[in-house]
Amino acid sequence: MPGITARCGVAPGWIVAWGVAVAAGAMLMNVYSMTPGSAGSPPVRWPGGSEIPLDRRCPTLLIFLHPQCPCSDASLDELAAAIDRTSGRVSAWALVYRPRTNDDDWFPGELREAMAAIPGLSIAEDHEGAEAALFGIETSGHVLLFGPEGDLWFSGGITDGRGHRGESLGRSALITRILDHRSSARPSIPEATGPTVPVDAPVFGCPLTTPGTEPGA
Amino acid sequence: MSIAITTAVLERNALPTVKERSEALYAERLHAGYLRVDRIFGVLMPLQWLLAVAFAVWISPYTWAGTTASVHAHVWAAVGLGGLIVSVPMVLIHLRPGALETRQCVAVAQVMIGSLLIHVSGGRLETHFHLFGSLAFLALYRDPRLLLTASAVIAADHFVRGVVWPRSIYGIATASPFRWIEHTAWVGFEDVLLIVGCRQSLAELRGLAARQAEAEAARASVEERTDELRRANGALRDEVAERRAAERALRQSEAQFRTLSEAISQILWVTDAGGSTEYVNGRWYEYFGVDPTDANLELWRDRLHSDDLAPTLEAWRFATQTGEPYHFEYRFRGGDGAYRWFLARALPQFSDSGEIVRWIGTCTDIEAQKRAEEALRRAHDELEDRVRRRTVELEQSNAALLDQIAERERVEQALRESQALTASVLETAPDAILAVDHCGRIVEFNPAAESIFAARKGDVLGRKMVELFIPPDRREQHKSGFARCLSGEEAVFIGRRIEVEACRLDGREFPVELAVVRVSGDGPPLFVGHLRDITERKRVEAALLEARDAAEAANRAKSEFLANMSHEIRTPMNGIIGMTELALDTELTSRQREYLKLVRGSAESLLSVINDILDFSKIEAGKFRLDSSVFGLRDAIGETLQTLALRAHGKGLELACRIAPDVPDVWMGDIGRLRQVVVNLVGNAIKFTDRGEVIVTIVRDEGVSSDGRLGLRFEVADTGIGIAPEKLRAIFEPFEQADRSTTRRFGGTGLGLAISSKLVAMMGGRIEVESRPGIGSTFRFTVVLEPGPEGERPSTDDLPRLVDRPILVVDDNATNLLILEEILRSWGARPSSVQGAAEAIDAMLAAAAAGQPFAAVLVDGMMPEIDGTGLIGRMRAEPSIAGLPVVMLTSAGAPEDPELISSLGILACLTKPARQSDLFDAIMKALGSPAPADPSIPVADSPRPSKGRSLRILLAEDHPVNQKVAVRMLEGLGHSMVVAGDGAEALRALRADRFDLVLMDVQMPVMDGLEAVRAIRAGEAGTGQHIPVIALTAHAMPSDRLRCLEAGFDSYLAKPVRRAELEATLASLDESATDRGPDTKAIANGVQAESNPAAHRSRIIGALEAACDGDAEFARELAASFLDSAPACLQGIQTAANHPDAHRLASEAHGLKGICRTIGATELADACQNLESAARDGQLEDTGPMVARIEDAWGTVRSALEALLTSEVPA
Repeated sequence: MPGITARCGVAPGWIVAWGVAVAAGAMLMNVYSMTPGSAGSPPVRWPGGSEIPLDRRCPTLLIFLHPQCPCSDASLDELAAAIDRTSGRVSAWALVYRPRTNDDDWFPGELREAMAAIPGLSIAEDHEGAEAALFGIETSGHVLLFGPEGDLWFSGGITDGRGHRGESLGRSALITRILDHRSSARPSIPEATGPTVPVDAPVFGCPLTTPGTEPGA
Repeated sequence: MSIAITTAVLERNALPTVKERSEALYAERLHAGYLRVDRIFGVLMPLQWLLAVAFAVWISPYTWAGTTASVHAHVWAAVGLGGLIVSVPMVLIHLRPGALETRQCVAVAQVMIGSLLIHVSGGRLETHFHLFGSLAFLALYRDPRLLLTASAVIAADHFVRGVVWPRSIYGIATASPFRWIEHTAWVGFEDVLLIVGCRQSLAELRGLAARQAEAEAARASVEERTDELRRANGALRDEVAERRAAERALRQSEAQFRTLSEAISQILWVTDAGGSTEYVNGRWYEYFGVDPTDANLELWRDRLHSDDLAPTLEAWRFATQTGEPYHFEYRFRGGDGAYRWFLARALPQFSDSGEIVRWIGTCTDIEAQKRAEEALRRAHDELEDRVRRRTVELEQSNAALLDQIAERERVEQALRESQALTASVLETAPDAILAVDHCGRIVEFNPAAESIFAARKGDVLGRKMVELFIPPDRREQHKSGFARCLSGEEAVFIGRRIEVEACRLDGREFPVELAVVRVSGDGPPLFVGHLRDITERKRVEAALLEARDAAEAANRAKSEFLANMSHEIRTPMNGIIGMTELALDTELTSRQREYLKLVRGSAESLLSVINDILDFSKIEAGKFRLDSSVFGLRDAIGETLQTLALRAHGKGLELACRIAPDVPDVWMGDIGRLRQVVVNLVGNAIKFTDRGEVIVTIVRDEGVSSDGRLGLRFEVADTGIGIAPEKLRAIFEPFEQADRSTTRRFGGTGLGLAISSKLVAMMGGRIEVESRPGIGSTFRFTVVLEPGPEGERPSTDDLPRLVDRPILVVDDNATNLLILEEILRSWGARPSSVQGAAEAIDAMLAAAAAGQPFAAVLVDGMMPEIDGTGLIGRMRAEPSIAGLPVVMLTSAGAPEDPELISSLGILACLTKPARQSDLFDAIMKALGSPAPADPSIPVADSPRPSKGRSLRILLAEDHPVNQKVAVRMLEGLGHSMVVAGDGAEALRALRADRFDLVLMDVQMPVMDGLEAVRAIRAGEAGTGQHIPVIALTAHAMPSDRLRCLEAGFDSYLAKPVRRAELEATLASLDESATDRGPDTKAIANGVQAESNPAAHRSRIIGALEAACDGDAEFARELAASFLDSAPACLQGIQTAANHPDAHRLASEAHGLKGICRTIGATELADACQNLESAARDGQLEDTGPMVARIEDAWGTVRSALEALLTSEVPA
């Protein structure tokens, strides 16, 4: 290293500073990736007025997506994995946010095809986020699972970071809820004897609405 | 590494070994691999950066908020963080390719860029393989350290994220805290595989390097062998070319050789090494007359002269054996049958191995040369014969010449050495050496002469010495002396050393010591002078004379000072002591008497101090003489101690004296000085003793000297303060006391012991001291004295009355008891002693009861409890012993009650220590007179009439006090007095009146005593009258006494004048006048004293003894010395008178006069004085009678002195 100092002027200190800076940048990047979006205020019971029907036979899963959000691909991949794990014992809906603009490219075809490739997943465009507003959703990738009785069983994201694929707490909880319903018709959740308590998980995704505007407006 | 190896090789300064080359290649290739992989990563790094940016842009270009889009953070991260990650590795790859730090940064960046890709790819599982790929890529470096670094970064990332965001990496929040290890383990698994791969690769690389090094070594060996072969081929080619050239040259040479051989006039032949002929030229055939085509080449052997065959073969054998050139002369018979001489020369040719391969020779016809040589040889032989004869003749001549030359050289060498020695002597001589020829010209002048005369040799050589170095006023004298010397007369300066005046070139005169020798040779004589500059010696001599005069003047001044001091002190002392004594003769109260005695004692002490100083001065000056007289030891010592008893008893000290019975009592010696020593020692003992006793013991010292004298040992022991050991030696030094504080406490000059020591030494003894501080001191001294006549012993007529008489001694002091017992026992009595009054009473009662009462009792007056008078009182109360006669021993100064003494019937009171004679008298008185008698109680010394007739005395004294003293003393002695104030008055009184005696002070105003007595003697001259004149002077030195006697005084009294001394002097003069009755009559009848030779001799002897201060022995020695030396002086006077030499006559007369004055031969001295005066006045014509008078006077003096020497008892 003294040779370096003499020949190129790069002092060991600069190399250390470089390392520190790289580490700091990586940390910032992780912080960003691991910072969840707004959890919103989903209702504990299926709200009235939704155009999405509540399936009385099986749980109803709603996933709200922003079609331009880069995290949506990861959320769909995890949703596909969850539906695949639950063997379709769920009525799944993908509510794709569509603003008022009539842009054909807003809902990319690749995304649509990816959604279509998920078995049992129904796709619905959520114009101007009305459904999201109805269900109190503010962040893309937010998943709600309602029981056949309209009780909210799960609320949150199914990724562990922005656009992060792979095992996550939300996906595991979702799958567990669904599978518990399939095996016993009642979710095996803590305090099963009492009212069902929805499981929350952080949501990593883009905001569904532009800041300063009312959802559904 | 390669650099290091290369350096090591260079340091060894040798070609690298295969191993070193292998290591170098290995390091080189490894480094090349580093560079190569650096270049790969130099491409991959920016590509991955671009890939990350592309991933970000492709996967998450924007982030949305409703309908609002903005660039996604991943894009910024890919651009910014990616750029940051790849920046430093890129810089290092560019600037430091191959460096370890470059590789390490690449490893870190590679892992971080992978992490970035995983992030921007949304955590796709596939992108995780980037890390494994990165490790594989890093493995390309074949440096396991990089894998460890990368793995460490991965482990750290997993650890930190597992702690902070476990869900992001493990999917659950409850993952094990060590799960990062699991992930890292997989990476480590790959690391292991990759490291194994790296090591294999490195091993292969090392193997390749080794093989390449071996190949290189082999190739280098092959190349080296190839080079050698190439060089060998080149050399062979060169050799072939050379050989071909040589063959050509050989052929040419052979052709030239054959041409040449045929062309020369000599026979040329060639043989092999063995001598077989291989070739001969045409001359050979021609000479031997054979056909070349059918010739036997060994023919020459047959044609060789038979006489030459053997030596020729021998020479040939020698040449072939040694390889030396063959050179020989022999004869061949030619074809014509005649022999001719040939000179054969041959040279060998050698092979490369040094062996002879052939001989090439020639035979030159030397027949003509031989003949010429024969003729020349014969001529030479003839010439040689002539030369030999001539040589013999020359050798004989040379031998004679050589002998002459050697002798001449030896003589010349001796001459040179002599000249060198002479020159050296001249050069180095400290004295000036100059030589003059018969004309007086200087011919030699050495360096010392140059220095002394301040002249250079070159300037004076050839010049006349008299004109240069003889003072002008002496040149004529020198010339005449030189002329006499040349004429053969004896010159005063030849052969002796004389002192003359010389002058330097500049005219300055100086004294020189000159010695001249005459050097006579074949020619005119030379005069060699040795001169020494004696200016400095003269100056020193003058200084010495001046110093001697100064010393003599100082000595005279010192003596005069001492005399003056003595006079000045003694003059008032005379008044003090004299008046005190006169006062004591008057009626006085006891207190007045006591005071006056104290005054007298103080004056005596002061006089003692003065006497000490004078004595010491005389001793130091060597002028001290002992007087010898007969004395009684016991009385003298007893009297001496009695004078000290007052002081001793005053201090309460016991003073005792023991004289051993075997000590003779009569001695011949200076009792005054002996007494002085005893007084000093006993006085000191008393002074330094506060209590106890002072004991004086006198015993005989062992041994008798050869002249019959005996030794006495004195011992003075005290119980005083003692003397510190380190001071014992110093106390005998002048002005020393044992302790300075004692000087202040006790006084004293410090001269007493020094004087005592000197006196004892003069009396043939020595003094020593033994002392213990606080205990006491004991001084011992010995003297050697001549025993006195037996008749002087005390009378022992009364001793029978003492024999076997019992006497009781009562004294509390044991020492006194012992002494008294010893004394009484020596007298034959039977002493008994007791130490107290009670015991004494008991003893006396017991003796009386036994019918053997004591004959007498000696009682000490001072005893404890019951003193002497108490004891006597008790005795008188006891009837049986009341009548015993008693003698009491009292202390000096003790009050005595005459009435008490009388009433107690004490026969005598003796002061301790009592003189033995007094004790003897007292005891005898007691034994002879049992009835008590009146004790003699001396109250005052009554005026004593003079023993002789009453005289009419003229006293010449200027000091009023001394006048009164002398008048009182003399009147007290029954004489009548007339007083004159000075010498002139005395002369007038003498002219006006008639006196029997004159007492004349020496120092007086107007006319002193010396002048006055000379006038008196002058007036008496021719009248036959002689009035005794006694000098009174305070000058106490013997020289003063001599001066007085020389001036005409008859006797001498030193001030202060004591009555006893004055009386004794008057008595001696009176007796002398009585003894000299006939003389007196003669004088009275007007007959010249000189007419009686006996009287004259007596006067001479008297004067001599007076000059010797009464020391008869010294007078005899002086007389003998005078008789030895005076004849030579008389002879000198007679010689000087016969050959009139005024100066010498005056000098000789002066010398004799001096020694006559010394011995008191005044007539002879006066005669010498007259002659001296006449000689100095140049009146040499009248010296005859004067010399005759001297001779007459000398006869008288000689007879007187011879009479003195022949008399057994000093006159």
